[in-house]
Amino acid sequence: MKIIERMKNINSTKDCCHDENVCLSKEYNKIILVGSPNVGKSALFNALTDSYVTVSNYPGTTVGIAKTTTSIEGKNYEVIDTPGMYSLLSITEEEKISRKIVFSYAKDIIIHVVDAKNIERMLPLTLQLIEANFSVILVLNLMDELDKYKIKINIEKLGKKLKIPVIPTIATKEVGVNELKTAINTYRKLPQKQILLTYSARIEKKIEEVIKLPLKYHQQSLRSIALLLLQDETTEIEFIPVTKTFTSKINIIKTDVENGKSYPFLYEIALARQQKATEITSHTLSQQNSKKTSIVDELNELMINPWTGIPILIVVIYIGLYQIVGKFGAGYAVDFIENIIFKNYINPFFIHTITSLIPWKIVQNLFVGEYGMLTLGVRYAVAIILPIVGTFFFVFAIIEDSGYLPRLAMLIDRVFKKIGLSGRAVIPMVLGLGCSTMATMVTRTLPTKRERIMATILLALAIPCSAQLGVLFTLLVQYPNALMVWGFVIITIFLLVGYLGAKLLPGNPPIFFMEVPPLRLPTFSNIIIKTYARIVWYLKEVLPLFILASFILWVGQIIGLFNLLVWGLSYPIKLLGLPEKTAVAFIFGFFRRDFGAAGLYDMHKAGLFTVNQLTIAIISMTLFPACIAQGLMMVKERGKKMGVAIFIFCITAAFIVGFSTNLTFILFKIHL
Amino acid sequence: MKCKLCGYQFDIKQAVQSCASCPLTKNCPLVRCPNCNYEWPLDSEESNKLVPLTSLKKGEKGKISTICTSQTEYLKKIISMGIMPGMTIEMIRRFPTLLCQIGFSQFALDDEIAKYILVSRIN
Repeated sequence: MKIIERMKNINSTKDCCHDENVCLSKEYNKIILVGSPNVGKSALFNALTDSYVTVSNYPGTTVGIAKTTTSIEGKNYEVIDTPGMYSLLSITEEEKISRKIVFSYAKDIIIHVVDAKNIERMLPLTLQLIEANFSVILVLNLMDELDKYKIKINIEKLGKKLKIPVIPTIATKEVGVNELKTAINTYRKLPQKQILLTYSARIEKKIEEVIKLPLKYHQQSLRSIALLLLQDETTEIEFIPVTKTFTSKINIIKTDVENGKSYPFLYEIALARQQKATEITSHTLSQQNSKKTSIVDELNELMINPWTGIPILIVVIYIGLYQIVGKFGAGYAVDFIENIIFKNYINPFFIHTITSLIPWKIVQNLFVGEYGMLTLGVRYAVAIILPIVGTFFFVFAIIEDSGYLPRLAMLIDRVFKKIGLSGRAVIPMVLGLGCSTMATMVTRTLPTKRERIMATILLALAIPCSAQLGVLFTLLVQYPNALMVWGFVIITIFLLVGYLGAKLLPGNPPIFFMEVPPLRLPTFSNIIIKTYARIVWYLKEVLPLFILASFILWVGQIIGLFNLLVWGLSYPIKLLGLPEKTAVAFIFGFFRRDFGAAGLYDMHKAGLFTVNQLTIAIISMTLFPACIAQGLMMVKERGKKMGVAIFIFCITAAFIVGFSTNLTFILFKIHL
Repeated sequence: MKCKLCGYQFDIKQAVQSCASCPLTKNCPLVRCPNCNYEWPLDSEESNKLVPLTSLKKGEKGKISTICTSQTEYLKKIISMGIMPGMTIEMIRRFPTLLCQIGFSQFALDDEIAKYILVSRIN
């Protein structure tokens, strides 16, 4: 049972922190996987190491880097999976991370993974890596798709042309992995520098000039560094420390003496590389033309065409979110775990054990009291939130692996443009419906700072996470009117804030440009492993916070700080027209939105709310930032100032909107 | 020569100067009026056939001739994704966003970036 083995290994694979160089160990030789998004780097990583990184049919799944140590034929290596990168000329933040890693470990083995059928488009990066004098192995992945398109690649000839090992693989089925391992262990670098590709005389001359400048960098990659400097602004190449004088010298080199304008290096160099790549592929690749439309193409068409695409989206939301996550996860599963398992077995057991172990009432309360770590912290996390988040991750894994998300991105691009985002932002947004913290991290894949800020704000404000959604739906499902008001208010706020943000934030409107991978049938084992990996991530992230929250509430209750806060909040809460006890749920809400929602759930069960009050409370709660973890992630991703500002903005907005809703209810005498 | 929009008379050398910030002056089939910045193709057989990618109809194919923009960001984006002159590009869909195929890959892109990709139609 390979799946089980992999599940055990999940913990040994960790997502790395922001400053990657710090956490890579120094002892092992490295194997670095690079390549364009969606070519199977992560799948190959899994096959090489028997551990698990999220693999899905969506470009840009690996944010941050994943690494693990593995033994290949007796030698130990540290294998590193990097975010997708199209070229050494980096555009997005994640591409910059990948480039930095590649240049920091220039002496280790670099595996360039490409999609075999698209080799012509991907070879330029191979050429760049060879140009930088790295120890490159080219892996032609997805070999099984070649037959479908009737393409043949002469692998031996390709290897000879490039003068590096070329290994064909099907990573998901582990075909070719042993050959790759052998290639890694027997890798011998050619002794002298070899230049595979010479540019025009003019560019070669400029390369010489740049190399002569005093620059502290690995001798072996100088040619490649010189090319990068010619193509891009020095500020964009952040891993090379340069001085101002150096920059101005570079700029002089880049400028034409005769007419004072810059040379079109970027374009010319790329063109030369592409020509070389085309030349190589024309000698090694043969193809019989076969063009037939399949059912997959038809389905593709249906998903993108708005007339059929929007109904499909509604069906996906209805089945995935409402039936599976809402009814099954938040309904049956929560009911079973909370009302049967916890109420009848676990809670009585905790209470019994703790009271018999600890004689002091006050310490007992820490564990099993009203806000006890076990009776409240663990119960909320395991009985209420886990079933909901778990089912969401399951549904999301299916949607992700099928390749539906890029189609959704296309469908929704025009709408998202109005709120300062492009279709690309659909991924963090949909993921945000599952876990906003994870989604905030994923905003990294958006191309501009402006988009990243917009997405972070909207995620914090108007995208409720699955845990919260689940609890809210259970509450509101009995009152269709309230559900409609809630939906209307939240969507309006989402669009309004987005629209205003797009108007107010400086910078250019976003552009939409992404590769659309083919639709693929998800594999069951991958979905299970992926769901499991995300649940593990979630529990690690969340359970400690729940327990911490219980602890703080317990301390707060003892020293009276808690009552003070409740008292302080009671005034704004009265403005919202809510019972005073809601303050408690709102304070929970500061820790985790869903925690607060679960608090509302308890209050509602006790019959403390009218339907109007319930609606207002839920609207305000939805607009809160999801949890402390999301707050921390915002600070980490967007910086202290921006993170805190977004946090405060959300809380203010939550109260203002709650207040206005209440006012509207009173003015128009609405009773839901 | 005379600008087709504002009628300003200028020398071709001045036109080149007004393109100074553009890295593509060498391959670019367009001239830009130094007075009003209007751009139009130079009168030659080949450049007359060039159209922006946005004007390809669904199902039409084109050969990419040049990527014509002075914005390095866009240029970087397009070429780093491997969309280069000489390649054949097919328009698969036009709405809600453009969907094009090159080789075996499909790309979704909006008009804002597609208008810089100049192609010649293939029948």
